[in-house]
Amino acid sequence: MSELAIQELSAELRDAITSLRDNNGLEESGIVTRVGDGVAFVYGLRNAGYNEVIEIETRDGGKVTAFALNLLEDEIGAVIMGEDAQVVAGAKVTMTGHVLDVPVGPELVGRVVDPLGNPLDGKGPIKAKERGLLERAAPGVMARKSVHEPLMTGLMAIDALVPIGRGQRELIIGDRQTGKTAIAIDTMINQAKQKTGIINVYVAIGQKMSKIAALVERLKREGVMDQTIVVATSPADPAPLLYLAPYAGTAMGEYFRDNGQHALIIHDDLSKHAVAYRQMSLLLRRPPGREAYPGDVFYLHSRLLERSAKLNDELGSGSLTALPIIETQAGDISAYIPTNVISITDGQIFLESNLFYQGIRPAISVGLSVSRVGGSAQTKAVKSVAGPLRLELAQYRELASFAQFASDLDPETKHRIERGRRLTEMLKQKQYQPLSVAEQTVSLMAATKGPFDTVPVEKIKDAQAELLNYMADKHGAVMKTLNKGDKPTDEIIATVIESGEKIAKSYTGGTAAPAAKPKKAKA
Amino acid sequence: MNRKASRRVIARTIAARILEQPAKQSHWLRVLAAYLIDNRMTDDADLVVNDIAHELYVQSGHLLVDVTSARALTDSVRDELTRTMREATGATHIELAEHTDPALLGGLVARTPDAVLDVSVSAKLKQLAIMR
Repeated sequence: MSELAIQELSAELRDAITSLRDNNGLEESGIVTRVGDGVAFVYGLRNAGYNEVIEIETRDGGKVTAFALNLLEDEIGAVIMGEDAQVVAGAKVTMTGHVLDVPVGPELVGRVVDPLGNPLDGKGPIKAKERGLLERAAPGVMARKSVHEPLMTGLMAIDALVPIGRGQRELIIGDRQTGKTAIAIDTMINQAKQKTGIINVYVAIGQKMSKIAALVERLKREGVMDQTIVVATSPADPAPLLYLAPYAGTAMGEYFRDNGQHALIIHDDLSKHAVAYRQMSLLLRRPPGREAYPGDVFYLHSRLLERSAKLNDELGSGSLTALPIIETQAGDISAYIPTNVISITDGQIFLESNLFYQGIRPAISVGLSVSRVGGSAQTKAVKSVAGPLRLELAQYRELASFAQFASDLDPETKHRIERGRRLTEMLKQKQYQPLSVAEQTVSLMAATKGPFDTVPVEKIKDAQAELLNYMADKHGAVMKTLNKGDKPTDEIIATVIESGEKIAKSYTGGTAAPAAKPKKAKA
Repeated sequence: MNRKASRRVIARTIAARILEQPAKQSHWLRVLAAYLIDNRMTDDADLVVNDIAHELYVQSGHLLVDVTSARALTDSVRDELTRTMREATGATHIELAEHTDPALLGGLVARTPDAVLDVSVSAKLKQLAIMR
C-alpha cells in the first residue's frame, strides 16, 4: 500500500473516531410504508409524540414536513404539509423533537401569511423573535376575568341588541351570501376608525384567493391593514393547512392577549375547517361518525375557541375575542356543526336570507340572535337607549302581519307598527360605514324617544345622516361626551331630542304621519 | 372473531420465545413464517424482523447494529463503535453486522432497530448540497 493510501486510511480512521465521539446522539428514524392523498404511514419512530413534526426525505434529496396525528401500535399516520408527490414508500423519516409552532409577535402585523407563518404578500421574510405553539391549553378558570369591556363592531344592530365584549366568542351564522364576512370586515374597520388599538387576526379557511385579495385591498383602503394579520388558505391548499389555519391564527392572537393587549380573531369559516378535518380523519382511517365527521369534531372547535378569553389583572388583562363564522344550508341551524359551535360560543348573530333580500342589511334576526354576555359588555350610552329597543322590535314583529290592515287597528297598535318600521329602517346600515358610540346613541335616541316618529320610513336614513351631521357641527362637545360611553345626562338627552325634532320637521309630509301615542284616560 | 395480531405483538411473542428457548430459534422462526404466510403479511417480513430485533433489545439488552462502511472496519473503529452504541442505547451486549459500500466514500452508517447514526462522507456531502 502506498504512503499516501496509508495516510488516507489513518486520517479516515481518526475522522471516524472523532465523528463517533461527537455524534453519539443516535437519530431516531423510521421509513414510509405507504403514502397517498397527503397522508404518509410511517414504520418506526416509536417515541414520536402527538402532533410532533417529522421530516420525510424526498426523492430529490429534499425534505417534506409532516406531523404525526395517528399514533398506532404498528405505525404512525402523518399528514404531509405540502405536496406529497415527492414522497415515496421507503423514504427515511426523522423526528424533529418539537411540535408545530408559528412565528408570533408584532412583526406579523400588516402581513399576509400561511398557517406555517410563511409570508404570502411578497414583502420579504418575517423576522419574528418568538414562536407560539399551534396547540396550547386554554387559560384556566382562575386565569380569567369576566367579560366587561365592550368590543364595538360599529354596527348598530349588533352593538345595541347583541353586544359583544372583549374576550367573548360570538358566532356569526347564516346561509351563503347573507353578509357574514361583511360583519367581520366592518368590525375590523371600526377598530381602526375608533383607534381602539385592537389587533385584528383574520383567518381565511379555504377562501378563494380572489376574495382574500379583495379583502386585503379593502382593509388597506380603510387603513386597517396596519393593525391586521391575515392568515390565508385557499381551497387549493392541502387539507392539513386548512386544519391548522385557525390554530395558527389563535397562536398569533394569543401573543397579544398574553402581553396585556387586546386582539380580535375572525375564523372564516369553521364549516370549511370541519370539512378539511373530516377529509384528514377519513384518510387517516379514523372511524367516521355522524355525517362522516370524526367523533372528536366537537373537540376540534371547543379547544380552539376556549383559547379566546379575557385574562385577569394579574396576567395583564389582555383579551382575545373570537368571531367564528359558520355557513348553514337552507337556514338549518340545527345541523351537526352549527349546533356544536352554537353550544361552544357565548352567543350567536343569526343572519337570514329573507331579511337580506328584503333589503334589511345587516340581515340580523333579532329573535334568534343573542349575546350571553349581554349588557355587561355594553357601553352605558348605548345601553341606555337599547333597553326598550328589543321589546319594541319584538312587539313589531308580532304585529307586522297586521300592517296591511292599518286603517282598522287601534291607535296603540298602529303606533307600535309605525315605530317598529322606523326602528327596523334605522338599524339598516351600509357596508364599510361603522358608527361610533356617539353616532349610535344619537341615532337610537332619535328613533326610540319619538323625534323621528313623524319622519316617513323611507326617509329615516337621510334624516339620520342629517342629524349626525348637525350634532357633529353644532353639538360637538355632546358627541365627544357621548363617545366616552357614559350614560347620557338628562341635558344631553334633551339636546338630542331637540335636535332630532328640528331635523324631523323638514321631513314631515309625504307618507301620513302615524297617530300619536294616546294619553292614558284619567280615572 | 379471529383478529390479526399487530406486528408489535407478534414480535414481542417471538422474541420472548427465542429468549426462553434459544436452541429452538429455528422452530419459532418457522412458526412465524407460517403465520405471516397464513395472514398474507409476508410483505411485512422485514418490518417484523426489525420489530423482533427491537424486542430482543428491550427484553434482554441484546442490540443488533447493522454497520455499513466504505471500507472494512478496523478493530479500533469497531471497539469505538461498540462503546458508543453501548453508551447511547444502554444495551448490555452489542452485536455488529458489518457490510461495506464504497458509495459511502468514507465513514460509516450504523443502524439499530429504532435509530440510525450516519457519519458517512456521502451524507455530509448531501447535507452541504441541500444547504447550498
